[in-house]
Amino acid sequence: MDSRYNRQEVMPEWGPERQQDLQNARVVAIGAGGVKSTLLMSLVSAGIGKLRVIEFDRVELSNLNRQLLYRTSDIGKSKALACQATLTDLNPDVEIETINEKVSRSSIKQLCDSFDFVVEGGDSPSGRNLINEYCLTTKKPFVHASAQFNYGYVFSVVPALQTACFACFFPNDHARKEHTGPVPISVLATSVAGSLGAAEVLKWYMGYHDSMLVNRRLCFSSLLLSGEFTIESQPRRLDCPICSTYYQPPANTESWLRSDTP
Amino acid sequence: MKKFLLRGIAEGLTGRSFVVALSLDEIFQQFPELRQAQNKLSITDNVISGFCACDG
Repeated sequence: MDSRYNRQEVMPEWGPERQQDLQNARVVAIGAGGVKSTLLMSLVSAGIGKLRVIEFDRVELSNLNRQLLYRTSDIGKSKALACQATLTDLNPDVEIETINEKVSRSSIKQLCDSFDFVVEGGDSPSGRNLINEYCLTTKKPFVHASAQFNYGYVFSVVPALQTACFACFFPNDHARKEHTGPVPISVLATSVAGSLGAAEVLKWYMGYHDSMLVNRRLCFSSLLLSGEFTIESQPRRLDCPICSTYYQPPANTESWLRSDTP
Repeated sequence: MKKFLLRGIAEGLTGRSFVVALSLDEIFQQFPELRQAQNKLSITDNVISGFCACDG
């Protein structure tokens, strides 16, 4: 029988039951650029239940070498609108909402609170740090996938399990406020990073938590040169100035322990 | 002479996946852009690598 999902449901590790689990997914994505183009199209094609995309930018000519959500005819248009059109056409069964806004400290709660998984996509250290701290506060898992030149990497953070946070991976970066501007980047790297990032979201909802890239990151080097895939271990830093303030047990540990005692 | 492997941003900045040189200093002299990005690089044995977040 021909159906939208039958080619993935026939896989033993996927199956109709896990396909149904994806229907419960409520994912919010910050940004819809290069990595997120492939990532979001993958999630929508796979059949997640609900997706909100927050993106404030407009489509430019130089985006089109890698941002597969957009077409030449979209140049000058709001990315939120163009993204909504592409994703809805790709799979109208997914509930998709796009918001033309920049995430800020004052808006992040309102924008993200009704979702249970965050696709991180800040294009500056301060944006990434904001999402890191929001997820640590709310104990929401998030995935960070990134690409530059022809290389990239991906990792997830699961605050409920007290895994390494964004600042554990980038201990010298969390205090850097400003972004460095446009960097060299190709569709090869963004697409691979986007697929790897989408896999993290699917693993979360399909029950493959043990396979998620926590406390480590999957890196790939230049897809035109060495093309190596490596795993870099990154345990939680106990002296991390960010997550150590969220992961500490309650101050009154004695009474907290006693409250579990029958 | 020693073969140094370049990975991630080191590979991106130089356009090469390896360099044969006498020392790290020689590599940094040959590729000043690597010296500028030195705080983003980790060097283990003969591998010079760095994987950075994209700023846009």
